[in-house]
Amino acid sequence: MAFRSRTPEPGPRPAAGGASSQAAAGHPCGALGRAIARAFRSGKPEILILGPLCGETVVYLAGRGARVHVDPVDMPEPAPPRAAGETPPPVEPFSLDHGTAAYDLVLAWETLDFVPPNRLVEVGAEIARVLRTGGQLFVFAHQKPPSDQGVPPRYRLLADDLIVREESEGTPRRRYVHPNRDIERALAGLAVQGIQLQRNQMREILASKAGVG
Amino acid sequence: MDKIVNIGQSIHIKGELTGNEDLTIEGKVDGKVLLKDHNLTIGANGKLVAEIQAKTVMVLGEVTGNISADDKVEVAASGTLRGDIVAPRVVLADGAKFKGAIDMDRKPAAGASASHSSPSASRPVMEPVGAGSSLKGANL
Repeated sequence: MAFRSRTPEPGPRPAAGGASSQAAAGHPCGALGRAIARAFRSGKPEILILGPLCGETVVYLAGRGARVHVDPVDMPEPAPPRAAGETPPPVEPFSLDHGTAAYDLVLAWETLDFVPPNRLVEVGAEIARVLRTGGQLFVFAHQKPPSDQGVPPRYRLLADDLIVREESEGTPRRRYVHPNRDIERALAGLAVQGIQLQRNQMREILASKAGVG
Repeated sequence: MDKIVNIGQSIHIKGELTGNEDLTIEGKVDGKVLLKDHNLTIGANGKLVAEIQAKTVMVLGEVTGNISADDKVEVAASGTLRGDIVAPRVVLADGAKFKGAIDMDRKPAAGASASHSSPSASRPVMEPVGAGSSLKGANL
């Protein structure tokens, strides 16, 4: 079996999120490249990948010296609506099974797209909790998803700033489109560095945990 | 060719398993598996709740526990691993179920939970997904 080249192929690069993104050329992603480069400044970064396993991505980052954690986390169910005058039914709080301030970089790919709007703040707070001061969060979020159901995809890193989106197996779940302001509100514990809308209607979000340290 | 010992599907071992030959586990093991300089295969029916140290480890079944290998750890598409991996070479097939951490630094096997060391000078080796191994040998 031939080894997969880590060098970007010349020629057009298909957009992430579309069927053509399966092409080997990959999709350029500058913000991701910057986030990874910054994470590796710490020597041996702790990186958390939330979502389906892509073995090559894990090995790519671990091979560069990171300690890579993988968590195929289940996103929370929507909180039931609260009826006026009634005690809201108990909802199991969302939590990440990871230590506080443990990570230099969290890659959440399209994870937030599968979080119900009324649980988004909770999930954002958990991500902020596990990040170290100066740690970064990288997220993709659909602006116009192809359907309202889907399975969280895998993202294959071909280089720091070059990725391929791949469909993964699983039970389709409801997909949500969160307005930018809701995402920024959910990531209140982080400083959103930028939200870039790409041509394929995918938003690239980079945030970092500010503070002394 | 060396004979590969097979712990059959009906065998359930609790405690520490050590050896100086290659081993395939199709049964259940709770405890510790130490195969210095030898290869361990957890077969598709194998279920381990154990700390594992070996030269190479191939996971086709289910493992809960940390794995430390001197050479390589491979989790096949049918494999499930809940635990950390420390090995210079790691292969995770798409479709494999994995929750844990991976550290590919070359260093003495001090336990898979070791962390926060500086990256080594020697680079780990990446392998194509799907590089398989074969199961051979006789049952006990």
